[in-house]
Amino acid sequence: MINSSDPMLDPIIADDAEAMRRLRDQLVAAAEADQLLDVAYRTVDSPVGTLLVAATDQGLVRVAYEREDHDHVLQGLSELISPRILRAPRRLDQTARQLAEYFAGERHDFVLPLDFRLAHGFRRAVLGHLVLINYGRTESYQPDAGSRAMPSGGAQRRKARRLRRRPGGEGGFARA
Amino acid sequence: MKRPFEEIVAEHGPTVLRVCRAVLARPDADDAWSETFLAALRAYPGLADGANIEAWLVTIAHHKAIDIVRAQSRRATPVADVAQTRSATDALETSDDGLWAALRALPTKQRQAVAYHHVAGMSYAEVAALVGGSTDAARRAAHDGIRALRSRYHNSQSSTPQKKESRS
Repeated sequence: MINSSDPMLDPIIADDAEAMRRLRDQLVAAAEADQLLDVAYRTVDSPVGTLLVAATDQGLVRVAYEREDHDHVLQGLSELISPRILRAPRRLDQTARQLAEYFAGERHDFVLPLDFRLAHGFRRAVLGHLVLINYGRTESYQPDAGSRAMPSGGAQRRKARRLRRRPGGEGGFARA
Repeated sequence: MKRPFEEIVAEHGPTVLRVCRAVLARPDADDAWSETFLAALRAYPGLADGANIEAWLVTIAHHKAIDIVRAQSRRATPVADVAQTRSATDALETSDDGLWAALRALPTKQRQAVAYHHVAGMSYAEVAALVGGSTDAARRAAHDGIRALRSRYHNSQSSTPQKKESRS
C-alpha cells in the first residue's frame, strides 16, 4: 500500500530491493534460531517443470508440481500446518541436491527425513516421487539415463498405479 | 485462512522498511525492521483474521523504534558515532540520505505523521490511534512536516538532481 501524496517523497517510496533481500535472509536465519520457521520451502528446476518442495523441522512434507499452483499449495500448508512459512532454501539443500542427482540419472532412491504429520501430504510426497519417474520415461529423463534406470522405474510406476487405485485415493490435501 | 508469512514479508516488508528508515537512522532502522518481522512471525498465528496487517506491522515497528531509541539513550556512546561506525561498513549511503536525514530531523510528531501517513499509507485516524492525539492533529502534523521538509530539503536539492540509480 503506497499512498505518497507528495512527489518530494518519491526517493523514499522507491524500493530498496538489495536491502530487502538482505533483511529477508536475516529474518529466515533468526526465525530458524528462534524455532519460528514451521514450514520452509524452495523451488527446484527439473525436466518436469519447477517443483515446490516444503519441509518442517521434521522433514520433507510436500512436493508439488507447477500445475498444482504453488501459491495454492503454500496456502494449503499455511492452513493445515502453520502460517509461519518462509522461503528458506538452506533447509532444503539436501532435497534439492538429491533431486538434481535423480534427474541427472545418478540417483534412484531418495534418502530424506520425511514428516508424517499429514498422512495425505506424505502420500503426495511419495506419489510425487513415483510420478517423477513416470514423467521421466516419456520425457527427457529416459534417453539420458540409459537402460540402467528402467527396471527400477518400471517397478515404481507399477507401484504408483497400485497406490493410486487404493480406496480413498487422494484425500483433501491433494487439492490444497 | 492465514496467508503464508512469506507473502506478508513480500507485500509489506518494503513499506515497513521505509517507515523504519523514516523514523530511525540506518542501520538502526534495519534492526527495527528485523525485530518487527521476527515479533510479527511469532505472533502471526494468533492474529485475528481480517486484521489490517500493514497497520499491525507498522504498530509493531513503531514500538520497536521507540525501544531502540530508549536503549540508545541509556548507552554512554554517542548515537552519531555508533551510527557512523556501523554504516561505514554497511555501504548503504545513498544520494537520498539528505532526504532521509531531513525527515528524521523533523519534530517527533511531524516525523511520525509523515512516515505513517505518507510513507506507510495509513489513514490520519490510524496515525492518531498509534501516536496519540486527534485525527485533526495527525493531519496538521503531517501537513506541517511536509511543508518543513520542502523548505529544508527540496530547495537545497534542486541543483543536484542525482537519482538513486547509483545504488548497487
